[in-house]
Amino acid sequence: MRRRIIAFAAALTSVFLLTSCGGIKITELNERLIIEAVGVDFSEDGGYTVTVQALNSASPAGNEQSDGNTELTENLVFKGNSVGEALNGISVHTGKTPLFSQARVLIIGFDTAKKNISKALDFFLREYTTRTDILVAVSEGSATEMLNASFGENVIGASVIENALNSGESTGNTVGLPLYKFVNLLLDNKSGAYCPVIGTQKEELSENFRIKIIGTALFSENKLNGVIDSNETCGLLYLIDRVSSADIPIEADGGVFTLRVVDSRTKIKPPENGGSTFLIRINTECDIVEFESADFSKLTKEAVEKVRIACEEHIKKRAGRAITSAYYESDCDVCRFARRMWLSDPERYRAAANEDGSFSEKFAVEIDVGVKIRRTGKETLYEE
Amino acid sequence: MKGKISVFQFFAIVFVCRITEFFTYIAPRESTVLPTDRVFVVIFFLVFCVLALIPSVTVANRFGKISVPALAKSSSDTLGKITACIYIAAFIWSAAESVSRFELFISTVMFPDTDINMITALLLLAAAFAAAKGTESVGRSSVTVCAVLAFSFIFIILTSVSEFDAVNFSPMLYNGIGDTLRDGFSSASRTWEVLFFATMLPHVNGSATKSAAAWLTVFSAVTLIGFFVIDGVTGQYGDRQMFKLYTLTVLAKLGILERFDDVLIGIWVLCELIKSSFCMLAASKSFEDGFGKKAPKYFYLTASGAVFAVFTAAARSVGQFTEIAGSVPAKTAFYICALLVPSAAATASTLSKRKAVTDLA
Repeated sequence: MRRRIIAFAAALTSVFLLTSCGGIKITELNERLIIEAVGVDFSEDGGYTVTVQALNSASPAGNEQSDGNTELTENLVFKGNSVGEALNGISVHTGKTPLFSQARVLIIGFDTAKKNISKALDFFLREYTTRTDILVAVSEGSATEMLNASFGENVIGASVIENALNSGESTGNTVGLPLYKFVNLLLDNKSGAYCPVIGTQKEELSENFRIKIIGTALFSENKLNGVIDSNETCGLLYLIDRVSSADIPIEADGGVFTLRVVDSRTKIKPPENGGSTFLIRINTECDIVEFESADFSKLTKEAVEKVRIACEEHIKKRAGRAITSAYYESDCDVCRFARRMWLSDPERYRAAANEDGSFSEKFAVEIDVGVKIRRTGKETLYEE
Repeated sequence: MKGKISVFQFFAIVFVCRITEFFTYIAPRESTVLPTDRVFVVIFFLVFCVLALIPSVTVANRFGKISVPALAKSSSDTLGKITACIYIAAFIWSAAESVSRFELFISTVMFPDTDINMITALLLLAAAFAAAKGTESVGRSSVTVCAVLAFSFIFIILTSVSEFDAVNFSPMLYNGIGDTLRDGFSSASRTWEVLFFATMLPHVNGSATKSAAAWLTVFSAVTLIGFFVIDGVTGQYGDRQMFKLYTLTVLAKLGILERFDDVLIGIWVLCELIKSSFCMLAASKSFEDGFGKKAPKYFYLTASGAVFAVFTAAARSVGQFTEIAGSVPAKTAFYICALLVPSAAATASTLSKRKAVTDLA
């Protein structure tokens, strides 16, 4: 009985003494600055300008501004000699501790990416609360401009940017890339890194902006070395096997066809027997979802076959343009050819590699595309 | 049988204890092992662990499931006491090393700005309480934790596979075999769970060889799969992260289900609790076998205090911890406990029996 009383007393004491309010430093939610997006630019004076888009915690529905607008988020811009120092400035200003675990996107200014992106990213690799899968993008102008753009009332800008970046695989126009994949490519001296370039465009009927997908930024030795447009980005997505759905307009006999990719697989075969040509095989399956003819004419087997061949040419052309711009012109090994060579023929790689383990030699590339038309919509084929 | 656990429960305990180390795995500082070569690291780890296990399992098979301290005591009281003291120190170090690693994990990814000595102290107190409840209680809890662990691990692996990229791997043994061998040796020399086979087998119903084989095979397979997926998914990014498996758990998601890291942290705390409590339990059994009397009333509390003291000294910084845990004295101490002590106890026992027979003749 005595033991039980002691145990009960000990348990009761712990309820009052171990409430996590004393010695253990716990930051309450209202003391947190919940960050939705971060933008990093190099300042002209050599330091960093960090823009933070944070949830406005003034009231549950947002902060009532003097002009009557309700803002869900607030943008804070600070400068410092390092990203950490700039963020400390934000803490001092708001009196809150930044929480990065909710951040959706990390925007790097275009000029910053051109100088050295590693410097701008290092803080986010080490910071304890940063998410590994936060999306990374380069902005057309400065990151501050990008994050300060208004996308409408009661709209979280970071969410709009995140949705645009995530749409890539289904629309085939942008390479949404999480931080860990981007850094993996940057760290690997046998691969080229890439990430989306986005900008803003003013809407015609309002003061708001919308997201504009510019294309893809290509990096070589941690510096932005070139940008490919959205058409070439589509080709790039085929090359890196990241297309899950995309609409392909094809002009052929009788009108414009729209083909929707339902499945696409890419295989990259390294050179054999001492050769130097990589073979890229793209196998795509499409549905014909629209046939813009003048008189509702039915599709014939021959027409479908012509469209199929035209589609193969279309994909091959886009992938070819992407590889030319990225690999040959911007020196960005997006298909990781050097690494594939390292894997398939290590001794040959060792013999030809530079001292730091990188690879300068350029390979020839052959692209082979196979398109299969799965369905032609609800309509039957016309038999002649 | 009262006070005894089944082979499966023993397997669950040792597996849970070891898997905690894998969860909070920190690559050796000097390691330059490439992703694919981790397969060989695991193979070498397996070989060194088998070597380290041979003396303890041989003692159990040859001398009829007797613990090493009891075997040493059968030849000399002093030898029994010395052996017990060596094992008690080893178990306290093992628990402290594990808690230190866990503290580094917690203070790196959960509460970076917080001194978590209080949490650690409470964890050790709870472990002392669990140890006081006996082998069977720890055995039963381990089976439950093992099941939850298996489910979570499979889930994380399956949900991460979609992000797998085989190009993240490397050619086999591109940098030679030296580093791979050293990493395998280094990992095996931190496998203090081997000592459970030297002290706890008398409390297990079933074959010592089978339990050792099952433990090593399953643990190696899980480690292999774990590393394979981590390297395939995270590539060089994961290579730079202090806690690789945690990085993978952050990425695992299925539909609206995501952030499994928080769930897993809870399970890891349970694993840590089981490891600490079983270390204390093994230390108390070593005391009883080596000294030939029941462990003092406050043995577990004293043991948890000792673990806390060693932890406080060892886990001040990541650098200090990895240097101490991977130091030559620590490795030497492990192989002395795993190889030399059981062999010496067996030799002493055989010699004393021979002497007794000769004296009788």
